[in-house]
Amino acid sequence: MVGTSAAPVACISHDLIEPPCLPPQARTDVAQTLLAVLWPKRRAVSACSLSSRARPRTDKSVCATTNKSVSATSDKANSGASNVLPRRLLVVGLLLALISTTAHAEVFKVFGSAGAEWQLTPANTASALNPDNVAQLPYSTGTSDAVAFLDATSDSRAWKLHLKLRGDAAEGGNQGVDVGEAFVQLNPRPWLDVALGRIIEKWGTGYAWNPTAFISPKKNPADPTDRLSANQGLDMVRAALFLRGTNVSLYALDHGAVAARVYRLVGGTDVSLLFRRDGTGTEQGISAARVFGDALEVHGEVARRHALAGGQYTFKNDVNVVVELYRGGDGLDASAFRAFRLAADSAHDEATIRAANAAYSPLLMARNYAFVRLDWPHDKLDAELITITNLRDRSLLARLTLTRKVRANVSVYVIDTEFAGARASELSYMQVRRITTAGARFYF
Amino acid sequence: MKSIIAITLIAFSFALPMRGADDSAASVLARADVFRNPIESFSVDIELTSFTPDGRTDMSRFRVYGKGSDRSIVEFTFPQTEKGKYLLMLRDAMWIYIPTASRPIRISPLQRLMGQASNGDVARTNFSIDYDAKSVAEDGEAFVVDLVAKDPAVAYNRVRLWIDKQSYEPRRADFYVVSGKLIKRANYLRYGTMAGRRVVTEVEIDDLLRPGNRTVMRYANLTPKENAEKMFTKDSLGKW
Repeated sequence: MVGTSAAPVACISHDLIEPPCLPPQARTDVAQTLLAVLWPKRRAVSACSLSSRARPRTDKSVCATTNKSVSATSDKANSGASNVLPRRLLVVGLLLALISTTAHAEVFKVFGSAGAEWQLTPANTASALNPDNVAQLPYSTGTSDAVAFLDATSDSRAWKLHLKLRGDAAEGGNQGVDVGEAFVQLNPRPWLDVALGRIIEKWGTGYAWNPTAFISPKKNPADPTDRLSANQGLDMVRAALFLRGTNVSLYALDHGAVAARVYRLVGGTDVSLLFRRDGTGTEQGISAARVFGDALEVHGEVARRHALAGGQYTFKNDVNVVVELYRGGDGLDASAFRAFRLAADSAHDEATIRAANAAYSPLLMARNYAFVRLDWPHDKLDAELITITNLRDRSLLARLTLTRKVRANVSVYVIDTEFAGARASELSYMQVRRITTAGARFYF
Repeated sequence: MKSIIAITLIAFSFALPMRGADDSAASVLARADVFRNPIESFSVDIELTSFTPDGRTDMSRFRVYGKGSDRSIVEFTFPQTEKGKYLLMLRDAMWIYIPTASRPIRISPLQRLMGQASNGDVARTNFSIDYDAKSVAEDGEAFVVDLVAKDPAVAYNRVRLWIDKQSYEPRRADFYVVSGKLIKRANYLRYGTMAGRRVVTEVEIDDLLRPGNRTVMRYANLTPKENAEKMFTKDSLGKW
């Protein structure tokens, strides 16, 4: 029986299948808490459902349970036991600094949110990856979480301390606290900022994908805004220079990695040049965005083997539409996907089913995808529809979110994620039929 | 109904007393724009309260940091769901910073920003930069100045201003779209003294497309503040 093994066959996260292929250290902080949402009793172990070639470039990480070693880039900063202690000391130091300087801060801000949600995930027993629900996916789960942002700043803005804390608890008693960000920023010159600590940097102009996000948290296209604020930063030193309309940001990360970004508004167009280098190689990219008229925004990003083009348009009735086309050169080509299908469809025992699940990574099984987001704000009710389409086999993910603001500081929401596609298409292999989430959130 | 931060900022342009013999359209506008930003570098708190015909109300609060005539940052302070957001406006370009996104996102002027305001409403705050004064007339105790947008991308193609002849305080502004349709009206209700200057403290905006929907904007705590140049850069948004 497959499901009785120590490691689960597949891993699912909030709004999609979120492959937990994070390095061990990050996993203890982030991925396990995410897994706890659906797999509360199994957060200590997890299977990696990403194949090495399908793994997103921003998450070239180590998959602990499958022993697939892939050199890390962005997540290197979070990996390696030797770095755990200094990093924690750094975080603790920053926390103490934050507390001790709060009394001297002339501007002190605390805000955040707390929420609880319930999720239904009926198994898709028609999938070759989950016959008879061998993965033992639970039908329903519940979780709660809280995130707080704390800023302490001198009135002169000579320094700033920033902290992002997130805690969660899942059914089964699992709970955890993550330090998503903790950094001190000094402004020694009017044209210079220096920041030290754990920082979330998000590069790129794309909404669902960011090919140039070399040092950013991995983005889930089905939840591009990170609605539960689960993203975690990298430990770094950042120097930001503001030079006559040009912003230059320089980064020093773990393992000798360095990165840089140069930004300038050129004739009304945002243009960024991006660079990252470590022991495994160099990455370069360019991103741009421009607004035409008062309703149309167009953006794009290009990096080696990855590209994105998109735009958004806002109608007079406030309806906002985002459309993007993405090409990921490290996705599976047709022959590789055919090989996956053959392996999945012929899987019949624990080993072969587990291998098929390990090779399955939704939204990374092809090279070309289309993303559409339709947002319709209406008084206190906001409706959002996201679709992501595999352009090769036309299989589709659709996520509808209805959010109702019941008070100035309370929202309730329902999210339904459906998967559609012909037999043997990418999303027909999803281990669940749908993901339905209902929750409430309190803001402070 | 869309409430309008921008229009409230515009109010500052006309809130201070102005007198002079040359009352041509251009000069009236130029002199009015002297007061576009009552202080070169400042912060001010703005509260928006919107009303609907069925009696519902909604309130938002912001702190606005301004520098020069065409740079401003809007910090969202209420409701709690909006805390941590910032909007940067550099003349025609706009970005929004959302804590969960952790990066500024380029946005279009029309894109909905919050419950009651569009980005265009927020951004278009300077008449002299965005409009040409075409004519001036008299209507009882007020000058009436017709403004025409220099750029078709401006949210309101034409604006008609009523300015008190004696005090030069604005009394009313009508906003027209390209089709010539009148869609919004601002009534400048109250004036007071902040930072040693007489400025508008309350403006009411009527949404003429949806009769009965209106927004009242109140200003407080106008304070001279030395806002650093780098605050008004995309990369610095949310980091200061």
